[in-house]
Amino acid sequence: MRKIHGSTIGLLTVVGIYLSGSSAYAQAWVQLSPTGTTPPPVFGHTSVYDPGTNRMIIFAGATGNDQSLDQVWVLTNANGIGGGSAWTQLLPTGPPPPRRGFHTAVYDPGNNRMTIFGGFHGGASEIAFNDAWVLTNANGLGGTPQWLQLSPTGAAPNRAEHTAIYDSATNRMTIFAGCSGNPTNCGSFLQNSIWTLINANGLGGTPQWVQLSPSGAIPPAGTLKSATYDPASNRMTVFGGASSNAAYVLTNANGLGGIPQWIQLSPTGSLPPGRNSHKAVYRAATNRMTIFSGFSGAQVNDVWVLSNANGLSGAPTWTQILASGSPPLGREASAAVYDPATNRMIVFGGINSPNGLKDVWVLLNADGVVPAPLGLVQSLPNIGGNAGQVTVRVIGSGFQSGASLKLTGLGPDILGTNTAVSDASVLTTTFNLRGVTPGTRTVVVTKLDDTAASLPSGFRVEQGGAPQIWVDIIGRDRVRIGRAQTFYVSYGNRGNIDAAGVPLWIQAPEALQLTPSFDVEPIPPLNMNTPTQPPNAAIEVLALSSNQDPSEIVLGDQQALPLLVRQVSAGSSGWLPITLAASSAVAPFDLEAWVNPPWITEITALTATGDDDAKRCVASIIVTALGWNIGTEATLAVAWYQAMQGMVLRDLGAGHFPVSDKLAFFMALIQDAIRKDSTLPVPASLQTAATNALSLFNTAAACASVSRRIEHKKITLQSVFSLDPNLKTGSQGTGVTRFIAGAEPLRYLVEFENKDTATAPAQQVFITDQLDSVNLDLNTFTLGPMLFGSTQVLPTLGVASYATTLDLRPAKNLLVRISAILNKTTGLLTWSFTSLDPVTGLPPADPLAGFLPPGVGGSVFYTVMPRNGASTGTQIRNTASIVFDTNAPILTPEWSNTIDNTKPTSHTNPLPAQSPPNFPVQWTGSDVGSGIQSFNVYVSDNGGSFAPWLSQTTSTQASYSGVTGHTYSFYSLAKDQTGNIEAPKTLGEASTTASCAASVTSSVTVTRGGFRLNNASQRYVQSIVLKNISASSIAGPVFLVLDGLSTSATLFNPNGTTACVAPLGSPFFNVNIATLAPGGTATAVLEFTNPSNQGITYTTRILHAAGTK
Amino acid sequence: MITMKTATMRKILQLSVLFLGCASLGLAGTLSYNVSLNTSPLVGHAAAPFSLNFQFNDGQGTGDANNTVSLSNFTFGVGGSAVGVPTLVNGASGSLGSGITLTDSAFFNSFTQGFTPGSQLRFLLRFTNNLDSGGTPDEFSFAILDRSGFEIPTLNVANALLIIDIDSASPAVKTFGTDPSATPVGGGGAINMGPAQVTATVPEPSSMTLLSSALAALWIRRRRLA
Repeated sequence: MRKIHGSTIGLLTVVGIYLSGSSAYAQAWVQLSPTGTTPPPVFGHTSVYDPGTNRMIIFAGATGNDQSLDQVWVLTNANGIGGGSAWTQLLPTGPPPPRRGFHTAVYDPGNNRMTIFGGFHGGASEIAFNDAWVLTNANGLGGTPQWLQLSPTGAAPNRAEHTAIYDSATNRMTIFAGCSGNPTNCGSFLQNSIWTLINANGLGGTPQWVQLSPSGAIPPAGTLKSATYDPASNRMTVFGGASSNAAYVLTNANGLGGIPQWIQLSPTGSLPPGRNSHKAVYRAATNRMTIFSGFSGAQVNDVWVLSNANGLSGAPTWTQILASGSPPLGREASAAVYDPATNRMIVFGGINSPNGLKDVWVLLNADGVVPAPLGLVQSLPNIGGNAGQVTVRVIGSGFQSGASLKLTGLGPDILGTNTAVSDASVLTTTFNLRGVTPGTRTVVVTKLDDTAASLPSGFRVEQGGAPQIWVDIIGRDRVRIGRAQTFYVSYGNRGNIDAAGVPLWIQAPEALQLTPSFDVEPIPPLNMNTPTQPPNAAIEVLALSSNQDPSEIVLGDQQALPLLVRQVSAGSSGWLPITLAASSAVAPFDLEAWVNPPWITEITALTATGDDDAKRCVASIIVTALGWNIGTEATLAVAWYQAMQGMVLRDLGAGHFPVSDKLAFFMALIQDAIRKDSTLPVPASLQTAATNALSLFNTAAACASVSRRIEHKKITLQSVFSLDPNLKTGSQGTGVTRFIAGAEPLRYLVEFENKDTATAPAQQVFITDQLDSVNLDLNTFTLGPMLFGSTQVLPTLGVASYATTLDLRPAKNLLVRISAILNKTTGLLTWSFTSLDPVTGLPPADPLAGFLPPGVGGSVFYTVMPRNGASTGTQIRNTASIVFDTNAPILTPEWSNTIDNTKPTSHTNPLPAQSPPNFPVQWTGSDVGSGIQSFNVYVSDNGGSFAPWLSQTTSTQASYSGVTGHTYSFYSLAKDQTGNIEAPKTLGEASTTASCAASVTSSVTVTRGGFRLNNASQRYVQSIVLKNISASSIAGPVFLVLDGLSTSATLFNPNGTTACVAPLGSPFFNVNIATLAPGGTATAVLEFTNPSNQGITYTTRILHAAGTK
Repeated sequence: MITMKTATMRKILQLSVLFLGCASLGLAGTLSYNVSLNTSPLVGHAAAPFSLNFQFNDGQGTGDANNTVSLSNFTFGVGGSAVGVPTLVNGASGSLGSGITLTDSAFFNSFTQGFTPGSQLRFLLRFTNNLDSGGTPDEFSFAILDRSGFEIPTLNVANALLIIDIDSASPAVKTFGTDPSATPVGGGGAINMGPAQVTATVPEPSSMTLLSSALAALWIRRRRLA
């Protein structure tokens, strides 16, 4: 399946962006006044920009006729933010490139290398260079910069006054146009050929020049054009040259992905005057190219922006930018770089004839788009537990890359880490809340320019907490025989702290073909010494199995796909599309999904005292098996964590993997502990030690949770020959009304299909879905995948609106424009799939040209949270409308869910003050909505902190094994069918002390009377007299215990049976006396039922006072 | 003048008095009591007819038959008489007319026979006093049942009128009056009847024979010592 990730394709987020037309002069020029020695006035130089360090690197350039430089200068704080700017000249080692001008330079920020190519030396008769050089540590950091001349294979073209773009993902530099002669005869040596330098940064292999042979309308040969590059679409946009104002796009510009093709754009709007020697920068996030200055009959200083600059996502349009502030002088042959994080263009030098320039200017909001004012709407989630870390998604406006986020109030500020701006309205960050004081805090977002916005009481820290992972399967209840059917396994975390490394299983009968439609990364090899980040952090899911083919993991007649979800943040959700295909009719079957512990809950500061029972279990078992010091548990817990990070955790408990794998796992943990702590005794045989540990593990009840399936969801499917292909499905929920917790997002899938019997492909498909704006929190709306055929589009996680254009060529000579937008005011959600002619950008004239052939379907997926506080019982109903071209709308059946926003309640029943060491504990609960699912019961021993005793139990009573003399307190927490968990408790609800009553048998004589059968009661009556023969008083109550009572007789109305003082099970009778003084007596009357009139015999014991009998 | 013969006779008389005292103090043997109960409160009572119920239950529980209770000389006073045939359970035999014997040959031994209350119920109670092992004594008890077959209420928890636990050589005889606040199950008002009068009897001829034997044995022993 072709997958396109939102993070790597051109997209336009609509929310929170205002076009410049609505805010005139929103752009502004600011001149910088850098300190330090200033470079000489220069033109025809190059500049590159390192966004990570905010440094601009200047190289070479002309200073006059036949005069050029080979100097390298760095400007710090180049975008005018972060402090005063300063110039520094770098002094690289190695022979420098010959001085030059009108060359090109590109920069690889990942390796901090600048590659320069071509240019003129300066002499009137000196032809353009064809040499390529690399400057290491080009930004002046990381070591002494060094010049390295590349020695590419292939024919190197001579070029000056050309353009160059660089694709860092493939390490390829593409040059275009320019002059291959000398400065005086360029008119005869103008070029429009295009070349790519492979391994352009000097790394990855021998560099090689390759000439490309594009098709299409080739731009005229010429010099002093500009070129920008959109890495997501691999398109280069060329503008100007000579007196031209034409714009062209080259597809597959890095030489990969197919034959490159030139496409001349036909922009609308007022066109900028033709020009050369100008500068152009590009913002991928908005697909806009900004041009500045140049020679247009004179040296100009105007600024123009071309929207949809890569030729995709709509018709390109030119708009002139009227920036405020004193503009720079008109100029040509300057250098300009762009900072995408702040949307600023930095300009340096150039020539305003006859004067060279050395001024530095910054253009704010350089792409012509003014972000909405910085503002915060809400934090999702807005609650976090102080037992771990919480990743939050902040919804607002005006966010820019580089923004930071913190929580203020109640002690030190809590700074967010790994902060990322998904788009201008969505910002994510991670707070480590471990140990911080519970309470309400203010959310503060600060941009790079120090502007800030806050959300008072926007976040609350709770005591404790844990992840609560949920799983769901979204899709219809049948599959068509012979056709692949799409389902979504959705997962999320309704808890208040993040979870990482969550094992998730998907299972279906082996008779069907189960195929993941998502990227799965194989687990790295077991290497406990290098707990590094997984190779590709962008892929959310890793395969727990070494083989990603689900059919390889066979569980009876089932096949399973064991996965490891890298992170499931608190309050977040994700989805994994899969397909199921039945080649022939099969009996009704289940598609199942579940998660099983353990997972990591303490990512930033893992210790052995963390809250992952299974992790601690394994650690303690190894410690026990090897006789190590208990302190080693911490080391082993870290090892466990690293093992998880290394994605080597197998399904240890379920027995799905061979014993050798488990042994290897334990051996690795032991080895790693030894490596970390050299004082640990090394076992004589590692394998024997691991075998012993594994044996203990397999029998340890405490480790049962390792293999426990929780949140086990399944849908029963039927195989059919036909079905209604246009359908809306959603969260399964629980019960007939599909209860779902208010803390979970609702999940929806809308499926559509062009009928088999259709006579033409569908050119357009429109889907509308009216969301319940009263009961849904539309700020939480998140777009999921959009599929058609084998193409899948994955919008950036968390965005509410999305647009992109897919190029179906060469398979199909079509573009498909896909857009999705939610009107947050009306709640109307709209998707559109529109076929476009690649040449005209308009719907194809050919009625047989369409993106969706007959028999091919598609789907869209989204999630949205219920509104906070939606009452239990609120029904969320939803229907989608699907329109194919000009056909009548098709309404899908309604899908409804019922909200359960009520936490269940429970309590532990009172306990007697004293209990035997093994005593029963009972609890009960109730729930409004979906009903009680299970209980967690916690116990405190002698006033210590409460710890889990029973987890996820459906029982309402159990026997607790205590220690005599210890006092135990209990409380219960109930969980309902939707996952709502009762509010935390800190105090016990029932307490008892495990104790036994003392025996005073030797101090008391027992004088028995005989038996008389009372005809009325039919019970034998016996009088007993107890006498204290000791010198001390005996504190009451005094209990007479009858041991060995004849089996035919039963003591009537005993006060209990002995359960603490052996022998157990004997009935006892309360003599009901407060104190038995020395010499004092007490009389008891016993009654026995004895239907068979057998003899009644027994022996006696006397117990007294407090304690359990 | 006290002669040797006179002294010997005095000694014998002293011993015989001592023996009689021992019988009443409980040395193993047979104890005998006259029991008298004013039954006039029962005359014409709505809970009639009444029955006399005697139980003699084995303390050891095994039915060791180590003790016997005999009841004889029943008189019922003016207007009273025995009625019907007795109900005998386990070690019970006889009748109100011929006399009753109860032996603890089973755990539960019971005699019941109807009677018409007269002014005064009298009978002679005799029993042996061998102790049981196991801590629970054999127990003789006496109760009056009403028309329902249930005991008329007394101040005893088992509604007995008389209880003797054979827990020593001279067991206590415990008597109880009726409970004036409780009505019989068989109907009618509460019965206000005092506890039975129990008096120990002098030894009967058979007992004197035993005493003579004992004196003879003592005499023979004395002679041998002399």
